[in-house]
Amino acid sequence: MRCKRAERWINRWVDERLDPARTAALEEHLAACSGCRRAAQEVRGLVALIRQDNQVEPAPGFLARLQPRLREEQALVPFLVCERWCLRAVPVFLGLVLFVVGLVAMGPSETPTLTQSEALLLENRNPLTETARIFDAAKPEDRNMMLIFASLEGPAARRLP
Amino acid sequence: MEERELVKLAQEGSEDAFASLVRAYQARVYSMALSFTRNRDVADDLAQEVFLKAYLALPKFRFHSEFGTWLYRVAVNHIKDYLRRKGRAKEVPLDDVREIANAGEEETLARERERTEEARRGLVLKVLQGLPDKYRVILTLRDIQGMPYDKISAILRISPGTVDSRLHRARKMLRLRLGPYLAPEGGYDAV
Repeated sequence: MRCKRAERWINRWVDERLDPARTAALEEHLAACSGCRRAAQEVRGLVALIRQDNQVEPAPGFLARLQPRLREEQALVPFLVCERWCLRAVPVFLGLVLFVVGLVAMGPSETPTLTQSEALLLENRNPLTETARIFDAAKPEDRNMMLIFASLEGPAARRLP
Repeated sequence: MEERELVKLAQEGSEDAFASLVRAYQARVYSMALSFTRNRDVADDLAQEVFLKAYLALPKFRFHSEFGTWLYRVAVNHIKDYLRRKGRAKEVPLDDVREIANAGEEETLARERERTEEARRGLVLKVLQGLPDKYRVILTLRDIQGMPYDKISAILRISPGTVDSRLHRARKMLRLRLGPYLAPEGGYDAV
């Protein structure tokens, strides 16, 4: 067995986690190799030295000292929850604002086309009044001509400025 | 009452149930903090803070592990944070061992051995405090606290294989750092 492998197995051996076949092989190696034997003694000695077998009790009144702090923390919980939610809401709100700004920026940029009647309505002029005014001002033969041309033009479209 | 029942009651806001859990685990949490800090006052403060954290986080505990494992995880993380904030302890100077070796000349052999062993233990623990955090944590859990591998694996959320290799490296590093101090007469057999 090589010393490198033995060194790795020593840790498991000290923790009693090495299977019997490997334990036998390692112990054979340790009997022959003074360096590994020394390493095994060191690991075993160190572990035995620092092992703390007994639990140490804290100073008396541990729970009595803890309870007021627990109540204090409990009283703060709603504020903490609120603070946590507010902190979470900030990025969500910013994201929402960016989304809306993006929608506005990416929205349709074409100018809408309006019919003559719609254009007149937009300019706050009644299309019927306008038409009546034109008819009143014109001579009967002109009126007939206008009607003929209007029927030929069809739904004329007008582009807004 | 079973621990699971106590945890459920504590999650529902029962102070008595949480007090029972504190009483059941206070020595273990305190001992762990003491193993890391070697200072009773600091360990007491840390243990209290661990229980405060656990109390606030308890509603999120979903029984995916044992309560004890979860509490140890809270404790280890809190203690690691504390150690990170505090910074590492200084290395022990070489002269300390010589002073310890000469101190007990006039006392009986048994008391001298006892004192030497305690001094050596203190020295090893001081050197251990100077190791990188991940090695220090695993040595404390395994070699000081004597926890089984599977529990360490669950607490630190690492595989058992990683526990094995990290422990191997940690012990090797500790031995290398202690080598010149504690083995002037041929190893640790006398310990």
